[in-house]
Amino acid sequence: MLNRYNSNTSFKFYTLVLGILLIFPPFLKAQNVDFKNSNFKDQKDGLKAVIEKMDKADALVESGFQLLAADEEHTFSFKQALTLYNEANGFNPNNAELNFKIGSCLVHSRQETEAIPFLEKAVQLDPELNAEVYFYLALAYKYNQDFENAEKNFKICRVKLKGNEEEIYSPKIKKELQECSSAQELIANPARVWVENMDALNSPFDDYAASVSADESVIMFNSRRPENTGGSKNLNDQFYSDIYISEYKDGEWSKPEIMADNLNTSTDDECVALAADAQRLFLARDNGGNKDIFLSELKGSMWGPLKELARNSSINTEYNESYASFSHDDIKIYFVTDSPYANKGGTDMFFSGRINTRFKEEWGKAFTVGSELNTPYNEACIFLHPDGKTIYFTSKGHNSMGGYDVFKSVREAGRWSTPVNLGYPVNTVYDEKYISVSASGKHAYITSNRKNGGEGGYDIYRVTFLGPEKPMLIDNEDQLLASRATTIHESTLEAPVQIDAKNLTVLKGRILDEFTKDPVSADIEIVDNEKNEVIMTVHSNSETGKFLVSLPSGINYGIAVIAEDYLFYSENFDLPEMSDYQLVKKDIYLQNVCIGCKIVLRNVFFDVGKFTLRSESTPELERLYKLLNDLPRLKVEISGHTDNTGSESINQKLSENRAKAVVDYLVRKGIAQNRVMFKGYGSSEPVADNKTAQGRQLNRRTEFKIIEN
Amino acid sequence: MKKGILFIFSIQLFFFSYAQMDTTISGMTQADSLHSIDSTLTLDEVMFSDSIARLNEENKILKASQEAYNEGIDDFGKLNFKNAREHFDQAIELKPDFTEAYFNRGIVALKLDDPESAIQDFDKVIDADPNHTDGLFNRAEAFILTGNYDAAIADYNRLTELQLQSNKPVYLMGEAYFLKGDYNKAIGFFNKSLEIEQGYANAYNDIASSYRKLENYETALTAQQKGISIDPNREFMVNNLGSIYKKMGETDKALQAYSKAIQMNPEYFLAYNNRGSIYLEQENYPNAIKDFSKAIEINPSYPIAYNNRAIAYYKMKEYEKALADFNKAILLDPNYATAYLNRGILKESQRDREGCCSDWQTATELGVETAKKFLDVECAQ
Repeated sequence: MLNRYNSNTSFKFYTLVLGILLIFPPFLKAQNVDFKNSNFKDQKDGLKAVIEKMDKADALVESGFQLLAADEEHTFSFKQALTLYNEANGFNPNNAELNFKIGSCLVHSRQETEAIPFLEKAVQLDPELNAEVYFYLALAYKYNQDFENAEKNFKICRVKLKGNEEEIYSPKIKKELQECSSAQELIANPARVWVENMDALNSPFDDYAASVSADESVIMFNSRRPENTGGSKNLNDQFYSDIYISEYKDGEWSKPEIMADNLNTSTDDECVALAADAQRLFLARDNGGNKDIFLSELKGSMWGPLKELARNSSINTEYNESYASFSHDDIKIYFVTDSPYANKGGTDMFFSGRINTRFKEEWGKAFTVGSELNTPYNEACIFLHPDGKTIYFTSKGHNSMGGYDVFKSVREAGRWSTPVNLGYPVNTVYDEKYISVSASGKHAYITSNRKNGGEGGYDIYRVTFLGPEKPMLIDNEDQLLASRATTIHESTLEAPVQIDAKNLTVLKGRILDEFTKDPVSADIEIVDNEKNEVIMTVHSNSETGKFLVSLPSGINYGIAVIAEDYLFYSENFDLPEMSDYQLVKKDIYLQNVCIGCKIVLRNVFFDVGKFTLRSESTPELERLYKLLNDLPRLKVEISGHTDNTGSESINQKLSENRAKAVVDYLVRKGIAQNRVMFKGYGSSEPVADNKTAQGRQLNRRTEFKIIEN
Repeated sequence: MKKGILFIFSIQLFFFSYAQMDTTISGMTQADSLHSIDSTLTLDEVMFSDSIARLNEENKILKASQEAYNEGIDDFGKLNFKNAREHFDQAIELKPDFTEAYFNRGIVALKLDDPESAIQDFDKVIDADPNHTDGLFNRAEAFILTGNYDAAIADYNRLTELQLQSNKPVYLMGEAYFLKGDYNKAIGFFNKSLEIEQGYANAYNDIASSYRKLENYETALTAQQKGISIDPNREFMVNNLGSIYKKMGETDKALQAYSKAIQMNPEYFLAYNNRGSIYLEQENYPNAIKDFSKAIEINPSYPIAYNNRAIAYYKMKEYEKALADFNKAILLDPNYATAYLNRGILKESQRDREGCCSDWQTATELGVETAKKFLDVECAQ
């Protein structure tokens, strides 16, 4: 009701405002304009052309959806459709359905931010267009990390679902809302990591599925570059992938090179796993219509021909095996397949175990890794860490914050623990599809298609795990004694110190000839001394002599290096449970069988002060027996040595008795008495400084020396 | 009597010795010296006059040494310790049995932070007089300064035998055991000293410190409070009280005590550092920085305050300031292990991998176990 005193002025005011509003079109609500003749009376030809284009675009979108349903790369179809739709939009920008189609194409071709204005316009032009438009709008907001608007629009979509749309969209919306909730939680508590794009490796094209050697000196990955073998493109307008390799030298990664040796062909070639010692490689390749896993071994400097992994309920099937991983002890192969076998849907993770270690090619029936890890959604990548108890994998399920995320689980008491999302910013709302982790656990190499200022394809990123926050020590002093001027020091801790380390030792180096210093191709046997079992055998590279073994903690390892025409070499690594990660570099020199040559038997153990052989010595004694057996003219002297603590006469007697114990063992096994002499040297022949504890340990030893051949 | 004889014979000698007497006795036999001057004297008379000469000489030397000794005391009064030492050196050279000079020189050596020399000097004093209480006290002090606590305890033991009524040697013996690390024995002696002198506040403070080292904080608290109630004017006792509360987790009371200590002595930088540490643990960084800065203002050569302030800056993400403070702490004390450990952590957060590994290497060599763990995991390449 108008106030009597101001009636004139306010009436004029309101009329003026209304008049202005009526004049300005932007303030008027736009109307939805259909592509009908009645709306475009003078542009009938133009309209016809545009409708044809839209039909073409619709067909492209259809094929795009088919690729999407098969979890294949699909952006190209949608991009092509966009070109056509945009032309139509130029003709008639006020059609709700067209705006919706453009918006959804933008979302499906990784241009989610640009989609928002189109989708908002679509719902503004016609709020009742369909339920789907709200779904896409929500997705666009989600990829833009605007979770509030994303959730709002998902819920609007849910309300507007009609008929059988509910069946299709309800579960999708439920999943999306879960992902939004997960995303907000993870972003609020970021993981202590650095994530950096590996510019040295990446290109403007897709670079993905990197695999790093245990010591991070070599990395292999796949890329879709124009210079690839064959140079042709797939259905998604991308070059067929080739495998590339780069080495870390002098503080930087070398320029990636296409791997030679016939590993690459003119179709998709993908490396999926590199063994810890970088001498074996798993590849995935099309094999008569479906993907299978192949193995190649490095002989010298050449990668050998591909061998297909076992078929028919073992590993490879007529379905797609797309990824694989070595286990640390080479007893199992883990892989990803879309076979319907015991599958919850999409792809799942399985493993297969060696049947007989002597015949390396035989693998047993495949088993699922279990429902703790597999989900009804897709798993893309699996990686078993050389520590023997940690698994990393990528999945769209669990509490993913969008697309594929990386998860980690630990083997405890015969079961896999509940997978843990590695958190933001390792994971994002985009796809983190592949992962490979260094032996030290410090670095992970992931593949992600997050927005990076580039074209939105896949790139390789390196994650550095910082571990728990390291507390600093605060320092304090007080005058504790009244009569003194000097102060007494005290330090206080903020909180207990936690170190998040992997429990394994990596031993690497070269096997070389002692005199010529040339590389030797040798077998390196890793033995569990307690169980008297060979855990695995690796080989040094014939050209470089290089070798690398990962030894999970908790075992007393005997390392024996064996090569024809050489004396065996013995080393001991007794790793207590939970001992921290360490990298040991050691070149090992092998001696030819020669008079006067000595070998220290580091895997022969006695109790303190006694001369009875401990059972863990058996593997080493067997090696010695075998040597004497193989070379029947060999005569050796077994000698005992001690450090310089305690009485010399006791030391002499003890060292003599210990040598005798070894000789007795060999004689009992059938070696002629006159071939094995025993002698005790006490502390008279030290090989290290008796002043240090380490030196004394080195001096306490049993040796054998060749007297005759 | 001696002087009388000297007087008589000196008159005689005067008449017989116009020729200058060669005062250096070396190179001539006693008989020769006078005989060459006056062959009328008998051998006895010659020997006698030579002994006079020697006596005169001795007197002269004695006088010279006494003069030097007195000058040394003068120097000491003027706090010119180097000169004092030189003068006492002279006095001792002239008179090698000058016990008082040894004693004084020993005291000067302590002032000059040279306890080893002090011990040698006091040895001489005590050799001459095994009951020399001052000598024993000071030698014990010198032993403590060189870390030889057992020898100090031996001296204090001797003193307890000599000074049966005094609590001083008993109390100091307690301190020697404390420094040796035998806190239970220390407590025993502190208690004994209290039997001799009931209201000795220092003993209560030291008892409190001993129990604190044994982690028996309740008893420490009672003792400390008793000490303060007897002598409320000692700020270091109030500061110690604060630290005991801190160990017990009663941060409010600790803060109160530290603030009280500061109030009693606004130049007590230890208390500022302690109070700042509590603020630091409570994540009250601005107040922590204020206190550490005040400690630095009072004592710019106090590396601990720089270390702690650096931690506060680090928590506030002021990384440049944190680095500058750690650098300063290490400059002031190149063996400051904690500062290397902490600076390593700072460098790691700034992605200076070489720097952090190098700092942790140094900290490991200086004995910090945590640094070794960090090295193994983070720097193993």
